[in-house]
Amino acid sequence: MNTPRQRTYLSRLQSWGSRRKVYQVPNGLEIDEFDQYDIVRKRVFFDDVLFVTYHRYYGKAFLWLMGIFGALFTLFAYLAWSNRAPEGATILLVIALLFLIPMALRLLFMVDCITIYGKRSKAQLHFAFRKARARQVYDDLVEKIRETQERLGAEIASEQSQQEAGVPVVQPAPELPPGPPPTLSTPSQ
Amino acid sequence: MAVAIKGRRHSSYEGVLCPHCGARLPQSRLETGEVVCTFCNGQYEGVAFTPPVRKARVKHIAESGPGGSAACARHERNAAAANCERCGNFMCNLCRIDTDGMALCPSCFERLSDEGALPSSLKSFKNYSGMAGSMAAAGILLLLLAPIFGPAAIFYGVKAFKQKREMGERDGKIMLYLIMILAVLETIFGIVLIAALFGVFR
Repeated sequence: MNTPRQRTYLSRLQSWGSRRKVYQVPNGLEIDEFDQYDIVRKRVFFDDVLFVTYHRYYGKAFLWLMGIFGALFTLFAYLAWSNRAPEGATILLVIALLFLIPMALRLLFMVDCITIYGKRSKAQLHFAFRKARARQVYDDLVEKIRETQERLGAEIASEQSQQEAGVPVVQPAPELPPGPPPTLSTPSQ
Repeated sequence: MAVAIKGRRHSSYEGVLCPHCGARLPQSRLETGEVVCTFCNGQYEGVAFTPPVRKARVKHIAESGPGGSAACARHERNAAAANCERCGNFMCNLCRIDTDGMALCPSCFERLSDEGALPSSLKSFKNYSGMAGSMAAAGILLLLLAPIFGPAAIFYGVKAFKQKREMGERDGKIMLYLIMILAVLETIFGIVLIAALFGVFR
């Protein structure tokens, strides 16, 4: 009953308040949302998908936060340097770089995001660096969704044609007159 | 008139939204190709789909004629289309639930789903990898308690491996191995530390 299924890891999103991982399964996508020590799973089935989008974003909150901390530590480094404490200034500058480098990388590369909207749920895949992989995943998903929906459409069409060919069209039966009341006697052997 | 409704902050699903500004996109606005949002002028690529809808055709007993078909166990006027693969009850197309390679009636589906026996209907479960990591981290922070936290980390690590195997996951195994190695090391170190504190090595 518990046959192991193939789950392929696609992407993760680690934001301020949540952590999510998206996996691909044969019939759709599974989104695992990590909540402390519990994982809540949501699904988007390929035969339910309405729209798939691919876009890029900077992430304003990330840029602001990194920028503010980077600027703050650069300022501290400058103050330390001007107070003739070069060792302290170097350490503070290194800390500032820890914020400024991710900010620069984000400005340079942006984040590629694939969103899959189903009828009842959606899945988002984020790719900060692997752009070619993002494009490949997008193309694969679109292809798979198209295939699944075409196959389902063909199945439904063939079922309908079979029903139309095999099962005669049934006219609503006229109402029967009330039958005799049920008898309590047992049938003779 | 289309009205932009910001829906990004809500956790419940609100349908198809612009990926940039979160404005709701009606079905008529779902286009394939390069799309420009009319609300925010954000650009994105999109592929629109029209998912086919399967309509369950329920056959009535009256249609199948005398002796034609058994009645569904739940709907006595509907003709049975299959047997439940768990309890064997007759079920019509309305009752039939195809899941995990089985055709089940609603009550068996509910029961198996509650028991967690249907992988495709699992909605929540324990994060054993996270537990193993936390235990290992607690062992490092509280070295004197490492002989308790270390084995706990190993226990949850084993459970996490089992869970990954059952779910068919292949990612995160290296991290789990590292956690377990760390747990073994901190357990040994914790025992040695306690022994040293009690003067065993004097």
